[in-house]
Amino acid sequence: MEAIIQEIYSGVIEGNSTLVKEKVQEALSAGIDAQTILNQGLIPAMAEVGRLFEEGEYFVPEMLIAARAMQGGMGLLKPLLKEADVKAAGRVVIGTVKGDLHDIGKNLVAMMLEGAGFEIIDLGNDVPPEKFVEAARLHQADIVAMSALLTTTMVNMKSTIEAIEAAGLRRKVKILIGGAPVTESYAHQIGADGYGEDASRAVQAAKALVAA
Amino acid sequence: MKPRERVMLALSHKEPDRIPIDLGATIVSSITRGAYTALKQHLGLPQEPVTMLDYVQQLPYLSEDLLEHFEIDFRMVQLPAATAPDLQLFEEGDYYAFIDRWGSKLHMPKQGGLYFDWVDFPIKELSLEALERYEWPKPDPPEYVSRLGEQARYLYEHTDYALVGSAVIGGGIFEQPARTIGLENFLTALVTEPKFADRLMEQITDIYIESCSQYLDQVGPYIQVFTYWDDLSTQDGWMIRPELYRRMIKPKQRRLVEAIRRKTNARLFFHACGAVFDLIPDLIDLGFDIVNPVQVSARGMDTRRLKQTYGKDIVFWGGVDSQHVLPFGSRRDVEEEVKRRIDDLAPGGGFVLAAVHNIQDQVPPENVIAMFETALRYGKYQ
Repeated sequence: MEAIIQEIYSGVIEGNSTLVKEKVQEALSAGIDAQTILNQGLIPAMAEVGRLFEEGEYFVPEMLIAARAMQGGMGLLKPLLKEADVKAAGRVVIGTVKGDLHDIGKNLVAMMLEGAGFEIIDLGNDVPPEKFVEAARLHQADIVAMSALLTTTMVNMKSTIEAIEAAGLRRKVKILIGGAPVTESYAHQIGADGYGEDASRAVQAAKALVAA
Repeated sequence: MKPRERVMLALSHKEPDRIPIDLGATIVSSITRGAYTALKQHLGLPQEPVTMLDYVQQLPYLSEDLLEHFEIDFRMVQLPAATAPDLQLFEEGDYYAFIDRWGSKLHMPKQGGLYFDWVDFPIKELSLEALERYEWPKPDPPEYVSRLGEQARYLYEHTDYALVGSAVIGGGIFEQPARTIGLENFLTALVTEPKFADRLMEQITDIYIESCSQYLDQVGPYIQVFTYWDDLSTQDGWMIRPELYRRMIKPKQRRLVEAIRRKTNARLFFHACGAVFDLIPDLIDLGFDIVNPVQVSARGMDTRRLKQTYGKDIVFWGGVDSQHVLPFGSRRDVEEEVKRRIDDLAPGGGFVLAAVHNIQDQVPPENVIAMFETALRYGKYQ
């Protein structure tokens, strides 16, 4: 790996947003293409951040800071990736379900997915089923990802899946769910395709879903 | 045995006649509006208009007949939580909204909303100058506090209940900053802007010390339990690096505890959701006597292991699973859950039974009844 890519990689892990932006710019000026910077710098760095989080070496603040640094670099790459028609790992429509305003979990998942090369359409929080449906159709999403913190709002995941079915989109999208009260067996029970216990595992689940 | 005596024995790690039972002693062991109304209706208790104690969590003042029905051992003496003293509700699009005493805006969806949540924050810029400009909230006015003092004295002299109070006028020292600048901003600031984060938390600590001191001057002699809350964990473990907690947050909690201790002999109650197994030694070290809500569904929160490891040094308050069993379990599941927690946590005293956090709207009245009836029947010592 080129030294500058290595610096980008370390910059993300250390959460140094300024350095990452600077080095990405430098790499681009040196003629390294955006896809290489993404695939060899940003994505492996966020995978390492996910690993550090899973192993208990990183906590939520370190993960947020690293994700912000990654986004700093990604902001510079995005237009170039689009221009070069580089395909994302998958397109994900994400939001917290109707009635739920708690979004840190959803935000972490969105950042980690972005860091794994997915394209994210973030619908924010308190998203009604019809909005998920509309966005999934409009953006031709591969995955609809839903989050809920509350036992009382978790049930809206089921109604969203029903709305997706009713709209005839169920075969076209995979459904990924997560959040404090959500379990693997609940995912199974309501007919979701995947479950992410935390942000890092959500990425693994999303990768498995698009590979399937 | 009288409730206060029962509670004091249990809190002193001795076995009274039965385990003490809590509903509504705190704003983290109560019942939400919808579940409360349904429960009263189911029990055939009179339905008087509901008054809200805590708008954020939609907790009503609980009626005396309900508390008597379940032989609840506690009564609350407390300031309204985390809301502006003269709360002005307004509508904003699809949401009900209000501004809390810290200047933060909260929203609750008009349709299907069950709580208010923080959506906009008064401190936008993570700088010391922004803190200078910020208008800090004031503790409740003295006449309000002296009214609470009278109420506490009356309850102490005319009832046998154990009395519980608090004067933490917001979230904990770790939680409140997130409600003032936003959670992601705060978590980031702890690492990238430590001076700012530290100053913000020190100011909050100062406010709590003032508020708690004024409150305890009036109420302190009459209460048996004083509550503090600070959610530091996720369901998997620490939200932040434990060393960071011990360096930046714990010393401020200690400062608050010392101020509280100067004013009251009440037992100190620490509410922390999530996987707190590894936090408990810090709470013991700080001088807390009680840990709540014992979120049994979180990682490592096995009640038998908790009791074995910390049972001599801390009282467990809570324990009945509210994430899976209470809302979604059968009556039978609830009975088994209650028995299991009693078997694990009650031996030798040191256990107060309550739901893990507030009982939520969707919990069927039958399950609430099963919980308290099993506790009363199965929670007898000997």
